[in-house]
Amino acid sequence: MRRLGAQVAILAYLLAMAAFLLGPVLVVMAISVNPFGYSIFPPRGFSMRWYLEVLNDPQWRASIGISLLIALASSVIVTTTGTMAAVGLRRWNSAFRDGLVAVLMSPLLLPGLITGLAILFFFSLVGALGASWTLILGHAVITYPYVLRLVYAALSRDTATYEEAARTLGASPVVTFFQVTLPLIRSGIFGGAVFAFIISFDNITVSIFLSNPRMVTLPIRILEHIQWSGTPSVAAISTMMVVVTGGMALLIERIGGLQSVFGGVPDESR
Amino acid sequence: MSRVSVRNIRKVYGGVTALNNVGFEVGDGQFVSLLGPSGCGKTTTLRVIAGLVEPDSGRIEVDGRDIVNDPPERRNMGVVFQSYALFPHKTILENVAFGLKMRKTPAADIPRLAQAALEMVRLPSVGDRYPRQISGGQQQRVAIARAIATRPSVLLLDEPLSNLDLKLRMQMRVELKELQRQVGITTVFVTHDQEEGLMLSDRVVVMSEGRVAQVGTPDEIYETPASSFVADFIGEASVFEGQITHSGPEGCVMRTAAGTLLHGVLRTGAGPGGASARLIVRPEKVRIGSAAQGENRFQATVEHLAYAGASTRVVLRLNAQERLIANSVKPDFAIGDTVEISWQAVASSIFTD
Repeated sequence: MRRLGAQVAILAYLLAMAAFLLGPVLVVMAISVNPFGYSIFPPRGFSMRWYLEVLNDPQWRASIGISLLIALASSVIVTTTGTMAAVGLRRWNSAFRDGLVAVLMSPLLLPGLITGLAILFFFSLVGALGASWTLILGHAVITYPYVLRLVYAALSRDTATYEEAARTLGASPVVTFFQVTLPLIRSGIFGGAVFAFIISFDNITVSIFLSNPRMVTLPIRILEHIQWSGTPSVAAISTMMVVVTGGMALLIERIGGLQSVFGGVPDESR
Repeated sequence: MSRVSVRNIRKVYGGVTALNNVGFEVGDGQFVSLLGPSGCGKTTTLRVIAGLVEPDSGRIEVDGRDIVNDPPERRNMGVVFQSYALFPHKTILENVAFGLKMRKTPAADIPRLAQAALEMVRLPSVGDRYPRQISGGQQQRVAIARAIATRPSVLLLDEPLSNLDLKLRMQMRVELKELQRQVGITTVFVTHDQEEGLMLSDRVVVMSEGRVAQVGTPDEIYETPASSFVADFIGEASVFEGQITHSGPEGCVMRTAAGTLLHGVLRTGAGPGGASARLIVRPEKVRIGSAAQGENRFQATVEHLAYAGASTRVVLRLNAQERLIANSVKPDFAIGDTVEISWQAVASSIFTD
């Protein structure tokens, strides 16, 4: 048994870490319920006024819709293509495989602004600047590595043996994929999809180059708003974003287990 | 029930020849083992038969029909993998039923046939559990049940017993053989355990470095090995190296570096005088005691005795350089004693390879 003093110290350390990580978020949440037109902490009173303000403002509403649409569309694209790439790359017995994986993973390593700038130049070169789908594709580029990484990790050597077993039992390659491979890597795919959605939903570095007055994503709107206004509406919208992403994290935990998403090992004991 | 012919299979992986002209026959209902050290190509051969590895050239014939271009799902072969490969997301019954479903068995018959397969491996009541909820030995049996549920024409087993502890392995050997006899299914069994290979098989294919070293009944492999590799790999043996001094129809004589003259039977090559050779003698062929018999007779010193239950392993020293191993059922000598030893020329094999 550990000494009481040591246990207290560990608990204090954990509480301090939690406060450091979550404290600022809690402050933002507290500010959002201010009844007054300026952001102060601690809040003086309680009101849902700024939530209503945000939800009734056509500009905020448009940005929420745009961000949700882009996040949804880009995560559907990268989940499909990323899964396909991961499955294909696992089977590709080539010296170039690891190199190609590194290239596909590179948006994760490059500074976001550089990637954003590169995407801007590219769309400007092909004359597509201003089209709404450029934002979706731009987000797809930066969220792609998350899906690839998680699905690739979920496809272990064991998965290949299960696939072989299915084939010898009479399953065609297509049936094998849907009956064996997909169920085994489903937590990886799902985790990748949720990550892609969250990363897209709060992205600034790429959106800032591709948005235009008709297409202002939520993070960009927040950024613009805090430059000329101090109302707690930003805190209100931020709180809503925290609730949405937090809810999605809970969803992963429920379905596959966060650990299996990060570890990439399908945990079938659940 | 089917005959399988493996013909001239070649497979090269990135410049390394994994299989070099591998060929052998498996008769209808026979149990054939592919036996060899790790890396000899036995598992690759099995995977070629199953259709999981595409050979560079050669044929796989089942009842005379070449199936080398058929994908695995059209080969009708049951495979038991070393890791069992039971689908973790399906129950035991779903695992066993998977092959039946894929092979378009009428839906009404599937539960009954799957249950029958589980009963055949004496696991009638684990159907609704998941693979991780049953023991390794049970998983192994379920893997066999899954492989035979569809009544495949050939059963392929890739070291299925190697992950089990010794006692369970012994028990499963007997059960596996019994099951195979019952079902009467043509079986190819991969193992690196020579005892397992000899015990279970009608015929043994000994492999070494991607080639077939010898094909024969367990008895032939043990008694008349075709090469010094086979003689050394199968069973226990004492090995002497030297030069052939005389070779004729009545036998062959070899002189070791220490000057010992040994009589044996030449198994490979013409063996002209002076050729360097190896002589191999099995422990149970060596007689200890005054009633010496055979062409090879020596005085030896007992160097070590190891009691092994039914018999005792005796290490004998012939001279400063040479030792050999013998078995004694009832040793009436002690370490340090000098004893008469002998064995017949026909009991030792000479190889010039």
